[in-house]
Formats: sequence, structure tokens, C-alpha cells
Amino acid sequence: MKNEKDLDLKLRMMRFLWYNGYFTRRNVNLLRYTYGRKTEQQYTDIDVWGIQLDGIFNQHQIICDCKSGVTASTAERFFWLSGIMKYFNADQGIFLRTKVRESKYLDLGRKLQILPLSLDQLSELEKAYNLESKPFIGAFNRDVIEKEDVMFGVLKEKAEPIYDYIQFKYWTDPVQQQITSLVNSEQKINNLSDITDEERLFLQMYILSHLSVSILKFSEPILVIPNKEKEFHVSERLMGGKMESAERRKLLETFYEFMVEEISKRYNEKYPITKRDFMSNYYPPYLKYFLDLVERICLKSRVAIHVPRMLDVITYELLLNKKDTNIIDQIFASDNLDLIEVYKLTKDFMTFGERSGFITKKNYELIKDLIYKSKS
Amino acid sequence: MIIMSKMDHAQITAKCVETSKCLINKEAGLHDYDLDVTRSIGDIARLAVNIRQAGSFDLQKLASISAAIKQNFTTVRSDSLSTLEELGWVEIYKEGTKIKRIDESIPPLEDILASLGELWEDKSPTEVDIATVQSLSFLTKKPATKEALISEIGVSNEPFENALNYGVQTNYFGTFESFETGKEVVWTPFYWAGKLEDVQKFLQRQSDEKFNKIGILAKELSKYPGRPLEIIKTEPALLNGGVASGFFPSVGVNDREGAEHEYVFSATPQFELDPEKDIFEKARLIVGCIRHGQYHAEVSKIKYPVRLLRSLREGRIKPHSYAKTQYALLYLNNICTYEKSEKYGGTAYKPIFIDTPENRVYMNVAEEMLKGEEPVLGSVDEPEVQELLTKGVFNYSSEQRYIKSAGKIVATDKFERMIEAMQSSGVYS
Repeated sequence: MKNEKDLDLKLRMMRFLWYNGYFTRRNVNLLRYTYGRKTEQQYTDIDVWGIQLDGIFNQHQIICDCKSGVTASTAERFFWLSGIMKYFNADQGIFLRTKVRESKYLDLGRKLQILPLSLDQLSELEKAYNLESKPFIGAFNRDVIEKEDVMFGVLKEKAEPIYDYIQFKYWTDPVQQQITSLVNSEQKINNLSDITDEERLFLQMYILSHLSVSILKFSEPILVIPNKEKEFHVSERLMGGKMESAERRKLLETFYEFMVEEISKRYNEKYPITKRDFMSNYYPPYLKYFLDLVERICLKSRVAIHVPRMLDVITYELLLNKKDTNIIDQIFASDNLDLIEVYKLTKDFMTFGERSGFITKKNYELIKDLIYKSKS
Repeated sequence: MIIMSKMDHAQITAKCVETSKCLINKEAGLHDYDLDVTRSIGDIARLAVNIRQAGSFDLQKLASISAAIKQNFTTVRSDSLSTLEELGWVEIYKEGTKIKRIDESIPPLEDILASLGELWEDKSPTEVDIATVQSLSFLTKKPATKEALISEIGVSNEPFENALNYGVQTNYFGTFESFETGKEVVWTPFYWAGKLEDVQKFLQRQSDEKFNKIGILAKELSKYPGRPLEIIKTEPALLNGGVASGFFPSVGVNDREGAEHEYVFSATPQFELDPEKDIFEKARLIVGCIRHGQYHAEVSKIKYPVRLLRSLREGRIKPHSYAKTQYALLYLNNICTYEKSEKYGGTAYKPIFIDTPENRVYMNVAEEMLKGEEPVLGSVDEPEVQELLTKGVFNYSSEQRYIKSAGKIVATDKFERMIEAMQSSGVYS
């Protein structure tokens, strides 16, 4: 929404975070869910959320409250923000107001890990970080907001459960659930018949960027596990951890035994499915490709952390804004990155999608050509 | 055109790998044509596994890998690489005509085996290719008389003879005369390198009917490697003879009273004459020790062998007074060491895995063997295949490999065939 309240503040905050290495989103809504179902009750919303992962996948999350005007309840708002930070396990909060006396709230801010910031001071910081001339791109590009709204409007109309998931539930799910649900969402979007190719591609890439964040978070404990043991840990973790995984497996085994017994008793026949085949459905079919991706990520962890932002640029700038590939060079110029390596790993995420069957070969080739156009 | 009996694609690739490994360093000859498809698929599989997860690399790195796996760089660059590109597993970036960079996206092993097996079928293999791959697949479970084998795989006599001829010269096939029937029997001696004589003697005494029983036993053992000898009720005399001759490899673990318990396996390909260097031999030792705890532990028997193996590997096994007995073989073979402990009243020993690249490989294979009984995880059915293709193994193993086989391989009717080929292509006309 172009006339969204405090949009300028939010976009400037996002730009500040982006060029400091954060993957950002705005207007994150936290809803109450009961028994996995969405309710109408909204807990709260976050103006700007950012995440940065370091070379060993430690997460640094940041929550920003951006409001214009002066509010009387600044201290109260600090405590609210502190609660949100705790919920998200964020290590930093930013309290951005058009006007605020930073010095007045420094002590409280320090205690709660919140940085009070006025618009003037944000401008100072932008100068200090040489960001004033940096373009507004990706999810904080004002020019694509309307197009983005149209895309999500289509999603809401054609596949509301997926819309609800990526807008709301995703933010409250544990990481392994995020991965499973996002992959399922990708598969469903892939099968939607009444959307255009352009819409499908944007939505799939948008989800892939979130999926990449979740996969990197997922990979954090896997990084230190020897390669041969990764398969076990990855599969167990994807199924909710050792305990939950064992319980689920037991349940499935019990069900199989029940079927074998029933069929034998009732029809005096052998259950036609072997236990091995039956149990092979326990893990998702994409597990082997997922494991391959996690292994590749762990081999290049310092490169992998840039993939979510790269996917974001591809999604918003190349696909939605129809910009030329060269924009990637401009955007990442100051990061001192080996872009070829980032492209390669970004492609590995796409390969995971293609092999797992949720990105079509055509779209896979299309994106690959886009990002490699100026690099080959 | 011959009708191929249906073979699993993964199995086809595995046999191509075995064949291509046996053809390493062989002089040029007609086998280059006859076994072209099999050899190139085997070579591509080995290359794919070795570059998997290498990311982006240049031509020089590719040359080093080719050298390490003893493949001709020019062939790798011009043939293997383009096949990998067609499969969508690599992307080649050029500057003019020169390759600047290669990006790999090689899929997991399971897909490598399945896709390349399919490709082998699509590439119209020659009858010699077919005879080789089908015979290898058949003979790894049991030997067969020549007629039985020809009828089983359904190829005509001439290509079969050529396949057999190449195989005999490079040791993946062998023949002997049966004492029982007087017939010529074909087998795969490279599964029994180092004990060829005893195994051959054992096989020479068997009839056709016994070969079938051997096949049944081998199948049973490959499904459950390291089965205790005393619980196998199928054909005890045949089994004992097989174990004694080394046809069925076994591992003996002594208990505290000095009584030996044998754990029996089906044979696996052996590219090293020295058992000290044989990966599968070491893996069998590990499996034998784990099985011993499963079947003959004094107090609490092991319920989940794979989990125990992982605990052993990760140093999570608690000290136990019996550990020194159970893992003695691993200690002697430098796979484990002990840590003495008096913590639990009395002397106990905690086995500590010696974490070296070689030991890790042995552990990996042992885990695959133990998984033979596990219903899930979808591991490759033939553990030996997985190991043959495991990254890094070739790098040191292939350098050291020493198979006593001919450096030059010739087709039986080489001269006639060459003349015939040249005449039909118009050279002499």
C-alpha cells in the first residue's frame, strides 16, 4: 500500500539494515492460533524485522518499531518492544521516531537492548555508513510495492491457506515446520492452474527466499556434525527432533502392524506393502535433495549467508521490477563478495527446488539464465 | 537385437564401475569399442562422485581429479564432461573455446546410480557390453556353467565369448572346470582376490544344484551381513565349506573363554590383494564385533546395531569390562583404542574410535552393511557399491591398487575383426 502509515520510515529503516547485511521484511503480523487454526485475534504487528546470519549461522535478529510523531508512552513502548524481541529471540531492537530525545532513553534502552533513534539521527547514521545515495531496492523499493500487493492479492484469492501461512503462521512456527510448510506451499503454487507464469514465478521465488532463511537457521547445529552423520541428524531434525521423530515412527509402525494383522485376519491374505516400502513414506521424498543442499551450505557457510538477500534481489528487482542483471553487481558492490560463489549457491537452492519437483525446469532455466547472463 | 533381462539401473551402474575399474591402465584395443558404453558409464559415475559438492572449479582441478582416478583427462574433458552437462549435472562456462569454469550440481549417489544405469540402456550398449554387465550381476551371487550363464543372460555365443575373454584377462571373470560335472564354470575372481586358489577348489567340487544353493545363501547373507554361523540353518555343509575356503568371508570373534564365534558375509569386490588394504575386510571386522555384542554379549545384548556403531564412532560407549574382548579385533587393526576406567567398581574399558580418514571409510561401509536389516532410510541395496563410489576412496585406493591382470587385452579374433571392419568401411575396396 503506497499510502501505508509510516511507510517512509519503514523503508529507510529497511534500507539501513539491508546494506548492513540484513534480510528484511516489513509489517509482520502475529496472530493467535488455536489448535493450528488461525483466529481473528491479532497479538501485535512488527514494523520492520531483519535477520543476519554470521559465518557459523548464528542468528542476529532485529525488531524495529517505526512511528512518526511524538508519543507520550515511549517507555511503555520500550517494554512492549522488549517483549517482542524476546518472542523472536532477537538480540537488538530499534525504536525509531520522527523525534525522540535519544539521551533520555539511553539507560533504559541499554538495559533492554533497544536503540532509541530519531529521524535526524538515522540521517546521521546513513551518512556515516555512506548509504544516502544507495538505491531503495528489493522489498524496500517503493516502486514495486503496488505490484507486490497485486501478487499477494492473487495468492490470497487463489490459495488463501498459502497466503495465510506465509503472512502469519510462518512467523510463529519452529524452523523445521517452516521448511516443511514452505516446501508444501511451493508445491501447491506450482500446481495452481489459474495464475499467470509471472505470478507463479514471483510467489515461488518469494517463498524460496524465506525458505533459504529457514534452511540456513536449520543448518546451524548441522555445521559441526561430521559429513557421514549429517544424514541422520538432518532427517531427525526435519522430523521434529529425536524424540518426536521416534514417536512418529513408532506410530507409523504400529499402524503398519495393525494393517498386517487386520488383513490377515479378515481376508486371510498378506498385506501387499512391505514394511520397508510403507516406512519409506515416513520421510518426505525431497529429503535426499534437502540433505545435499544442507551439505553444500555447510561446505560454504560464509557464502551461504548471502543467499537470502540474493534471492530477494532476484525476486523483486529482476522479476518484479524487470531490472537488468547488472543491478546485482551494483547492490553487492560494497560487500566485497565473490559473486560467482554466491550465484552458485543460490543456484543450488534452485536446483533443490527443481529436483524436489516444486520449481519447473522452465523456471529453473529462466532464473539461471537471468543471474548468469552477465557472468558467463 | 537381444532381449535384456530386467536389471536395476543402480545395479547396472555398479557393474559398469567395477568393469571400468578393472580396465584402468589397459592398452588400447578392440575392447575400447566392445565395452565402450560400459566403460564410459563406469568412468562417468566415478568422476561424478569425485566432483560432487566441489562447487565451482577450473580445468586444472578437473585434470587433478582425472589423474587421481586414473582417467584420461582428454576423454574426461571431451566426453564425460559433455555427458554430465547433458544430464544437467554440470554447467560449463567458456571464454572463447577455452573452458573457464565448471559448476557442478551432481545429485545424491542414489540418483547418480539410477540415472547412469538408465543412460547405459539408452546408449545402445553392444552385445559384449550387455553380456559383461549381466554376467557380472549374475555371477557375484553364484558361479554358473557357461551354458547356464549364456541361457540366463540371453546373448549369443560370440559376444559372450568376447565378454568372457576380456573379463578373464582383466580378472573380473574367471573360468575353471568343475570336478563334479566336468563342465566349464564361470565366476568372478576379483571378489576373492588373495584366496583365489582355495575358493576355486571349493567351487570346483560343487554341482549345478549346489551353485543354486550357494546363490540362495549369498543372497541371504547380503541382506543381513555378519550373520552368526551357528544360526544359519540353510545347507550347513555347503556353508561351512564356503566359510573354510573363504568363499563366504567371515570374522571370528573370541569370547572371554576363548571360544570363537564366526560372523559370515557375502563376498564383496576386492581391488586390493592385501587384505590390510581392503576396505570391505575392515568393515567386516567392525560389523563382526558389533554382531558379537548383538548375539553373544554376556549381560545386555545389543538391540540396535546401527545406533551402537554410531555411539562407538562418536565415543559415547560407556566403559564395560567385556569391551576389551568384544572390540579386540578393532584394537588389533588400529580402528579403536581403549581407555581404562575404574569408575564403576572393577576394571572396565571404554572403546575409543581412532578418527582417521581410512577408519571413517571403514565405519561408513560397516554402517551400510548393518543397515541391510533396517527397513527405512532407502539406502542403496548393495553397500559395496556405495563404498566403491564414495568420495575420496579412489584417490588413495586407486593409486595403490595392484591387480595382477594383463596390461594389454586382446579380442580372440582381433585380427579378423579388424580386417573385416576396414573392408566394410571401404579402406581396402
